[in-house]
Amino acid sequence: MISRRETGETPEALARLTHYLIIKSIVDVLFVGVFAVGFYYTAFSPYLRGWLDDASLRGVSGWAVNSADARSPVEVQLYIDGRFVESRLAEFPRPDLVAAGATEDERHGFYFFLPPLEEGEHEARVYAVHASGAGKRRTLQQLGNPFRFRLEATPAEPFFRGWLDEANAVSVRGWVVSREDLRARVEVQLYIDGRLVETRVADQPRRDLVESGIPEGEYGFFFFTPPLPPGEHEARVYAVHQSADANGRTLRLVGRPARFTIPQ
Amino acid sequence: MSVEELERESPPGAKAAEMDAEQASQPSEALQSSQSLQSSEATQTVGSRTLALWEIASVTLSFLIIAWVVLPFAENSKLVGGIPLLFALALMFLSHRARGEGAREIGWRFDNFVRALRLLLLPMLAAAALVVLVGWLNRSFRLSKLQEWQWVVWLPVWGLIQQYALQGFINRRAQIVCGRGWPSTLVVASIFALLHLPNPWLTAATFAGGLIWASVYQRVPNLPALALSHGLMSLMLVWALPPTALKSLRIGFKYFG
Repeated sequence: MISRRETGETPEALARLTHYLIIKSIVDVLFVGVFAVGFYYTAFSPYLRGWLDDASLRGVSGWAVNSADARSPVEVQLYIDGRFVESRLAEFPRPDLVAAGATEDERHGFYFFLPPLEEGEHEARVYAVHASGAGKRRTLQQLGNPFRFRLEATPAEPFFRGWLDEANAVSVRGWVVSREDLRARVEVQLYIDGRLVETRVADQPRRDLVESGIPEGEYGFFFFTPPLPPGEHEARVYAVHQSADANGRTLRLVGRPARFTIPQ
Repeated sequence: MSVEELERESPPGAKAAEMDAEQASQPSEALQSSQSLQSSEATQTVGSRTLALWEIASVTLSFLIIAWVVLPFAENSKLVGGIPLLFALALMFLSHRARGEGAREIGWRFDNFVRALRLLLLPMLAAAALVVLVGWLNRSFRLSKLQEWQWVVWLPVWGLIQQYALQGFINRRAQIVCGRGWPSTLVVASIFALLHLPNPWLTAATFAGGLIWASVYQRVPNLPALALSHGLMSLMLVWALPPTALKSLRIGFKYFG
């Protein structure tokens, strides 16, 4: 063992060494602290603001803005039940943000269609992506709070686009188009109050859809409402999706359920 | 008698033991005074050992901060990584001064260079043979990295810094804590391996290397010889082992990146 006598240490020298060690410990802690704070402010932008407004069968919507660079749209990522779904830019028009004074430019909204989900409880989280370190590092900052929602039917998106326009005492009508093949005729099923009423193919001409950016074609469906007792009823139209895997045929809700009343 | 022979014949601590023995053979009055002196000495020795432990922990922590905090999160800025290294080097320098250690004593010398190399030769040849065997079995020999001359030149320089910190400082402090021989050698090798976590191959290699270098340093303290050996062994590892196994010699948090 190297002893004090050999090294020529004196109590004063050891006391001095103790001071050096204390100083270095403090400096180490300060360095790591300053580094951690610096890293936090580099990796997580304090200028990102936004909120997750809604998550439901209709989709997931909200807004995000980078106050430091309000003209550039923020990249946002949707996670459902902890799994990544999609990444896109928050550039949807949201005039209400300007009205509320949250932003100067209205194009800071985002909207995601829901992915295929099982019926039941789900949780949506939306994160704003912040790039730092010359783009080498990307960090996610959660917008608002996680949004819990319940699905009672699987939405038509992303396989179909469509909407249930109207349901009343006479008819149920709307339109649906396959995203994979615009020429494909989609099979649709009408359910009223949870019971299958009729199966048809959406093949009615709907020229009005051209204005919405959908190529001209025959995508409409029309059902006559069956005889129903007076009172409140709910109509749902499902597109039949034939998947390649073992799941086979699944019903995917077109638009949202529509409520209507049969008068006395 | 050369300095090395003197060191071998009279290892550090022997003088202290002789003095303690002399004090123990004094008459009873002197014995009492000697006992109180020994007690005071013991207290100060405990203080010195505790300080040595603290010094080891402090320098090890600086290297851990570099590997686990700075390099992975500072966009690879070597400059920021240099700050904790600078703190560690400053502490080592001041500690050497406080403990009265000279450069020659620490191992900054060339008079025993060949003797140190002679001691290193056999274990290095054995390790090299093992590395070549692994490389041959995996057919993983590659020269691409070795063609980057800046990297090749940097290796022994970085090896020298590491060997200075590890042997010139930690090894010497470990000897204050647990004496010369296997215990302190094991401490040095374990710390060297700890600093290379979580890279499994590198951790194993540095533990083995740490044992050899620490043991050689305790017999013949010569840092340039150890740095040369360190650099050569690193080159051998990069040349022979599969890059997937070494993960580009990444350690700390960057290993996962």
